[in-house]
Amino acid sequence: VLHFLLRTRRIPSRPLRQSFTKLRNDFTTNAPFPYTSEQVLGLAQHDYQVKTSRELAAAHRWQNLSFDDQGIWAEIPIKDKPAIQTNVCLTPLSLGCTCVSYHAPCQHALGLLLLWLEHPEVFTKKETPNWITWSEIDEVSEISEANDVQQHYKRIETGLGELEVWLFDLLRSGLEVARGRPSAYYQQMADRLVDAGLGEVAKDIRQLAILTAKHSRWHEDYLSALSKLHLLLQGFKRLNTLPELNKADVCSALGWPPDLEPRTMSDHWHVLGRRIESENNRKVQRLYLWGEASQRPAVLVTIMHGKKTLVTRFLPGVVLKASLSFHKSSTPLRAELISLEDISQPLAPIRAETSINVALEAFTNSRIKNPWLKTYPLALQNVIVEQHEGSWILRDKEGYFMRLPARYQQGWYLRALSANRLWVFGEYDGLRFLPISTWANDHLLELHTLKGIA
Amino acid sequence: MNLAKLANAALLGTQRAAPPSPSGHDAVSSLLKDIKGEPIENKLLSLAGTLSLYEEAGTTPPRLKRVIHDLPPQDKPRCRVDAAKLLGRMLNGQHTELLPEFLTALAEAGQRAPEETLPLLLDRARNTYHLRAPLISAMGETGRWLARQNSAWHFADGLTFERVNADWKTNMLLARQGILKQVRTHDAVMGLELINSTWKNESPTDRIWIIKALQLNLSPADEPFLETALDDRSLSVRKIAAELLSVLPESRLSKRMTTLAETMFELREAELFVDFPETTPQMTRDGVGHPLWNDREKVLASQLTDIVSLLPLEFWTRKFKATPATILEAARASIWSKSLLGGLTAAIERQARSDWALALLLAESYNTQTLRVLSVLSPATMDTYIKHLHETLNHNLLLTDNPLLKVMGRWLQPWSETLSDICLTRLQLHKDHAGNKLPDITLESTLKTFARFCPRSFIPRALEELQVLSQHDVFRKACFEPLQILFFRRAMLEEVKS
Repeated sequence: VLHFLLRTRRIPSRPLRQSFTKLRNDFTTNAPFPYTSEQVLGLAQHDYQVKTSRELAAAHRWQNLSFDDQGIWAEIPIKDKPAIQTNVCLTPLSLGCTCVSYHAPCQHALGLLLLWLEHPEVFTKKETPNWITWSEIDEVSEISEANDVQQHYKRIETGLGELEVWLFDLLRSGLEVARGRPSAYYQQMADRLVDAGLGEVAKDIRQLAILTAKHSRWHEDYLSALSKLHLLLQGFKRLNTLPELNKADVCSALGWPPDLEPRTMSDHWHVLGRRIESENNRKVQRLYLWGEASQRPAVLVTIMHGKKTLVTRFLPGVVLKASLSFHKSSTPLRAELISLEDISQPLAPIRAETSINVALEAFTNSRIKNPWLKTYPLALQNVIVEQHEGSWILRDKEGYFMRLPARYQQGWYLRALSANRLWVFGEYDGLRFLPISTWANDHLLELHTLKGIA
Repeated sequence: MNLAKLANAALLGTQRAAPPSPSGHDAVSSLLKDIKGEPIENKLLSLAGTLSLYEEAGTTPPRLKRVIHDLPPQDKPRCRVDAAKLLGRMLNGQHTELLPEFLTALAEAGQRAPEETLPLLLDRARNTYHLRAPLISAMGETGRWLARQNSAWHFADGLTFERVNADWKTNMLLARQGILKQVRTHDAVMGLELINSTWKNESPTDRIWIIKALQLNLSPADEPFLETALDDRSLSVRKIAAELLSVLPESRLSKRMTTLAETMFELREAELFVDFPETTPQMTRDGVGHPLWNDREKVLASQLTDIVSLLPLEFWTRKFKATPATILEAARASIWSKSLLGGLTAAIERQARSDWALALLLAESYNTQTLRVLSVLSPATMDTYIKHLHETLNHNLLLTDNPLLKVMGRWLQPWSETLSDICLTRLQLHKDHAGNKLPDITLESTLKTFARFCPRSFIPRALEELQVLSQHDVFRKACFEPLQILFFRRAMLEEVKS
């Protein structure tokens, strides 16, 4: 087991760094910015941020509008206080600011980037000031020494041991008793797992508290979730005897990304969406891609530590002519960028599945191979969104449907677009489909940027 | 055996009930029979893991049998991509004030707003009344189809009493105000019916805005309702009812006021004399005077203002056979000039008499009270007034407290070519004399109004001249936003046209 873990420690840095050095040379302030204003505004986390960013995209709001080979920066003076300093690195796109906003990126960084995009002539070339260090993509910290791996393994083993005892206790007293427990009961176990370096498993424990909510078949979902945790424990115990791909799936579910496949896959990859999850002091960003020729999804994961800076490799809505390498898995989804030739704007959405039944088959097949797969990206076309029994559903022409999340706020937009049949991309978790983007007005529209309508 | 059975057993806990043993002869049952495990919880979880994967693999998505039939019919073409992007910017808060003009331009060009903007537009129009008519003209069949599906948007899909009545009774304040305004504009009688249906149960504060809404399309058919409102318990409601009745020259209240005034006023040697009548209960009912005051002179002044404001303006020209200008001059000469002019201003504003408004503006010096009647000027009379100010005033347009600047800044409707031309000519005339002194703060708001309302044909000239002006340091700030509005308007109209 140790040998396997040692082999699978986080590696892709060297080829990745090389490819970024190349990217830096290709996409810097000397070259045209490959994104549109709408794509930049997709970075906004709320619709009101879109408004304030637009207001800040005016030269008279700023002082010292400057650029160098890697990025742009400027200041907003505030009376009797230090000026707000904002900087944007263009490749990889990294937006930072000294304002007090809770959001990353804040409206200042977005406004500055919009201004660069729409009026680059108002910026002057200058030396990089001391307060800027152009940030690198912050990869998962590497475990460099064999000792660290040993310690890490021991912590995992102890953590999973505690989890097994906790699971058995829970089953001994029964699910009905578990249902009456406070959320602190789950939180304590989750915290212990986080301490043991099992952040991914801790998320599943927190999720259990939600599954106890009232609905008639809650106990089936609850038991099913418990059994997947049990399956993971058994997988870890038998790691040495498992086939390599299953072994990789177990490691991945434990938060230990497996090795990359040696084979790379070149394609035109459409960037279809972006999701960010916050965990403790870090943010995990999933960038969803879809291969035009290979007709397969891929996910680029970026981990950001700290709250103030947002780093992203690409923005949704563009097409990358690039090579990816997938992490080993029985259901390869997570990938790393190996080389990038070009970024362009798509002329049409990718060809997607028209039947929900067929699309879900892909999901079910993946779930059977890898029971710990939580969400799966789906692209559908020629479907409609409508209301059914008081909630939104997505249905195809055969009548098959998937429910959208409860109280979904962007349903009316999708309903309006259904007038001409809908193209939609999102993620499915086995119960509900969360739409992430759609195709409207000849471009990809990120749904979270639209103001919610109840 | 299935997952549900196993989960039912797990509800009780393994210390109370052991999990059921697998039975049956199918493939999965024989697989389950092979599962061993100690302790019993281990076995239960292994069984559950196998069954849950087995069931998940066999699950098909739910299916609705009914066919999709309610999609909208063929519609007019949606606007171009770039026009849609500008619309998106407006919906995100940039130059929102130009939305009605954009939607009207779309409808004129035979296009419609794109689907993805319709929900937000309908949601805005729900509470923003002036957006409704432009939206309804520019949303096409797709918009109507969408509006039919959300009860909050029914205003956009034809009005029937049943549908409106349901919305009227169940909605919150802002939505109700929108509903009433729309119904009143569309069908005044239906609006009155709507008010009557809930009037008795409305709270006193709601009654005030509801009765105010009757000023839209006010007609003699509303008189019986307004007469009964004169007996309302709330003073504010009674006052508003009297004001509305005074706008109807044939109403009983107007006739009562005319009778009262016949013996009350006398015009001698270009001065108006007032002979106050005894206060009667009928006068109090008609909203004349304030019964709680003790100061006799104050009571008389207030009575006079009320009576004059409730009198039809025809009364003056008929009785004294004089022009509005002569009457206003005589009122100014009277010892009761303040009350008389106050009443006349209110009457002009309510009865929307453009000729009287012009006479008042020309006779009176510029002040905030007289500026109230600006809104009732017709575009042609506004031109006459502005020309008069332009010819008679030599004030520097850019200096403090310039009437021309303030009058133009308050003209919140489409500007005529004459008005726009005078605005730009005055700017040109005075810019060289500005020196280093910053212009009056109202210059920026007036220029913003100009940028928003000047005729489309004027935009190129306005852009050119304001760009030159903005190169002076002192004008940079005042010109920045007006220029942005003009640039946006030009882009928006070009995109729609092309």
